[in-house]
Formats: sequence, structure tokens, C-alpha cells
Amino acid sequence: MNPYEMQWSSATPGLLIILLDQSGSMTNKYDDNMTKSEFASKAVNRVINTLIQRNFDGESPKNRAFISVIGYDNYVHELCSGYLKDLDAKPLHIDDVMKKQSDGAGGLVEIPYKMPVWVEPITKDGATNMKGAFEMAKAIIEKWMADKPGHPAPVVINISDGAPYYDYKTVEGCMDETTQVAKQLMGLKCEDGNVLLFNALIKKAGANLVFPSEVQEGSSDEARFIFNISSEVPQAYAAAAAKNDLPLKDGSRGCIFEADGVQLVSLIDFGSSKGLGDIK
Amino acid sequence: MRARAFITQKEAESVADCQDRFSINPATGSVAVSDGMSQSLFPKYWAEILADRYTAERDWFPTRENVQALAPFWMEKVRKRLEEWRALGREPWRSESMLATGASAGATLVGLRVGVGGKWSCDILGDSCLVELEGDHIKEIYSSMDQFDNYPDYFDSNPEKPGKGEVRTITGNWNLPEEPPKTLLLVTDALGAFLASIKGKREETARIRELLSVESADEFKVLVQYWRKDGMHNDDTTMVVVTDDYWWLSEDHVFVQPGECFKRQEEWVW
Repeated sequence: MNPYEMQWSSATPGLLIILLDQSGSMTNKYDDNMTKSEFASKAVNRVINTLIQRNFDGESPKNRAFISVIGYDNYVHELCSGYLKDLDAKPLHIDDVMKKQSDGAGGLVEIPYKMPVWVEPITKDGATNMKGAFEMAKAIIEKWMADKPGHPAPVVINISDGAPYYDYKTVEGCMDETTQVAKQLMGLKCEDGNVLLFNALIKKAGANLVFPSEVQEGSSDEARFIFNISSEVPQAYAAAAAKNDLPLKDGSRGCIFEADGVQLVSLIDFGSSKGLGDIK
Repeated sequence: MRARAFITQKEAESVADCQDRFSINPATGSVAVSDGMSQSLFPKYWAEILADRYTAERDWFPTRENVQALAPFWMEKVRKRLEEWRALGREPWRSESMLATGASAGATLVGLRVGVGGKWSCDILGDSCLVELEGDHIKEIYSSMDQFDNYPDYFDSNPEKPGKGEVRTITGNWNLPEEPPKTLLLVTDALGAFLASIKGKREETARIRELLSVESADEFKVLVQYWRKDGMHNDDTTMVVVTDDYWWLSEDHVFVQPGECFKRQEEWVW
């Protein structure tokens, strides 16, 4: 079997780790309606729910994935973790929302819908200990790989709005330290391939850039940092990239700069595609 | 005529998770296999309804209209199941929510009917297959699709959804003189795709002999585990073997109940 071709299954569950920036800047406005933290939490909840739903046969979800969501501010916190069945059984709460869908005659109708919530947005200020989050992800993955060597390569998705900053060090120093840990993380290897690390920088004001294959001259240090800590997208993910409208070229790195809402959900969908693609 | 049926679930999943169903009815000379789609709601109920309906009457055909008329039976089974959960204190909010947004079940179907004189006809929708064997060689593998992929043709349990694909009908005759003995297999996609991959290769004869020598559920399970290591997709796997050993139409109906097919010696003779 070629690298990264293993599907997530009950026999060989996938491991998806989502790292969520919960620093003070995430309380800033994303748009008129919500903060970046609210927006990112919503995207994460939506993707967990989709993964459960795609593996749900009416009775219960199949345990085809283990998901861990880790938040980071000054410190690192496990926000939720579990196989799909565990997550389905224990959301923090279930919200009643209205969902728009086609009425079959060209119009839209609103239908009451239950939306489980596993991750809440933050309201407090804090630093950006991305390095600590990568260290925790690395520890989880090392244990997972030791226990399950024949399983699909784990996927880590980091959602942030900027560079790391912690322990009153310089941003440059934090980026260097964090890059080192990220490289160690991406160096972990199982039979299916190396750990994949994908990054999304949430929308600010800059130009949107999806899956770049090089860092442009004159790019900011922050852009270089994100590019350097992103895995090259493997060929086995090409179909998932196309399905999520993520343009892929030779040498593309799995990162999105200034991601909007659709792109953030697309990136998480893309990262978890080995658990979504097989409808049979 | 002799029919033997075998079924096994995906590796690391339980028997209850199996979404394949089959039905055999000697009174109508009919056999059917249906594969419920994983990413749909209560697919095993729909697969069971389709397979049982196909074998219940000789003159029922899986047209869109006929299949749409089965939708209320699926909904009734689902409602009953959700009521059972509520009675046990389990709130089925996810299923209810999905039903409210129109979620439904999808399933493939391959059905075979054998008539007096050895004439047979087979109706197929999706990647469940009819495999025609001559001796220990694969003569032909039929499905309604050009290739095996993750997006098969299917019947939908929601009458407002069209499903996917067109039913393909194949006919044949068992009793043509001076032809090698024929066997028909009704199989779900993992086995169909694996047989397609070995057709014409050196291993074909040995594999078919191995397959036809299976006589019990345990033997089938072991064979499937072994073939999965050789590249067969890890999926629910069903096979009904139909041979024309002799003809005798019985008055007895044999419907396969959910769960029952996993326990019994899987052979029906008529």
C-alpha cells in the first residue's frame, strides 16, 4: 500500500488532533457577529459532528476515529478527547438551532436541528503557547503509534491567528522553539507515513493564500514560520483536496493563510477525509 | 437447486454492525442480497426490506415505483426502534434530528429468480454482483456499474430522493446441453471486486475452488479474513452460492431473519 492510503476504520481507527489557539487575540472580532474564538470553536464542533454523523448508521457511530481537541493559551488544556462513540455520548451540551435546507421546489425552509457542542469559545486573555500544544500532541501520538503501529498516519490540525508567544520570550525565539517541536512531530513515522501537520491562520486583513508550494520573497516571518511547520500534502490526499476546493500543486504545504469560514471547515474536513470518504 | 448463504461483518466490528442482508425463498425460486450503505441511516433495515420483498413474489420487480412503495415500511421500522430506545431511557436525538432533515437509507440489490427448465433472470442495482462460474472459472461478473468505487448505484428509502443508477437485468439458462456445470454467486462488493481482480490470473482456479468448498459460517469467516490479507477490502461480505444440482420446488418459505443468518448452517435446498 502506498503512503497515506489507509482508510480510517473500526479495525484501524485514525487519530485526529486539533490544536486550538485560545490566546487573547482570539477574542477579537472575526466579523460583525462573532469573535475568532467563537468562529473557530463553531468550525471544530461542526467538523466533529460531521465525522460522527458520517460514521453513524442510526444505532451508534462506529469508532473509526479518535479525536483530541487541545486548547492553548498560557498553558495547554485538553478540551475533549475520545473515540466517536464517546464523543457522541458526552457533548458539553446540545443546542437547538435552525438549519436552512432546500424545500425541493427551489426555496429554502428552516428546520429545527440539534447541534452538539464539545468546545466552547474563550473570553479571557492569555498567551499563545503553541509549542506546549505541539509537545502534548507529540506525546499523545508517540503513545498512539507505540500501541497501534499498523494504523493510519495521525493528522494534526493547528488553528491559530498568529505566531507563538509565551513565557515572556521574544516572538522570534518562540517561533524557533516551536518550529523545532513541530519538526519533531512531523518526523514521527508509522507504517502509513509520517505525522501530517496542517495549519490554518484565521482571517485578519492580509491576502488569502491556500496550500502554497513556496514562501514568497518578502513574506513575513510569521508566514515563513507557518509554511515551515506545515507538512507537504501527500498525493493520497489529492482527491480530498479537490473535493474541498483546496488547490493542490507539486510541493504544496498544508496551510492556509487568512482562512475564511469555508476554508477553515474545508481544511479540517480535508484533514479528516480518511474518515469521511468511504461511504460503503 | 441448492443455495448456500454466508455473511460476515467488517473486521473489528460486531455482528450487529453488519449492514448486509440476504433472503432466500424456495417457494418463489428467488434469492436476493442487499448491501446497506454505511453512511446512511438505518441501512440494514432498508437492505432487509429490499431483499425480503424481492424474494416474496416472483412478479415483483425493483422498479423505482415499486421500491418507493416500500419506504413506509422502512420508516415504520425506524420509528419502532426509536420508541424502543425511549422506553429504555435513551433519547434518540441524533437519529430524530437526521430524520427531520430528510436523512434516509441507501442500499444496493442483486436478486436472482430461477424458473422451471433452468431459465434464470437477475436484477441488479449497485456494486453487489452476480458472478457466473463455469466449473472453477469465472465466466462473467455483472453489476450495474462500470467499476467498483465508493459511490455505488443504490435505492433510497426516502421516496422523494431518486437514489442512483438504473437496474440492470441479466438472463440465462442453466440447462443448456453440453455446457460445463454452472454456479451462480450473489456477492456484495468487497468479494465482487476481489473476484474481478483475480479473473484470468493464475490464482483464479485455486481461489474459486477454495470459495466453493466453504460449507459453514466459520469457514467463510476464516476465508474472508485470509483473503483480506491478500487485498480484499475490509467490508461486510455476503455470498449466496446457487447451483443447479436438482430441481424441486418446495411449499415452504424460508425468510432469513436479522441475526438468524449468522447462527445457522446456511443451506437451503429446493
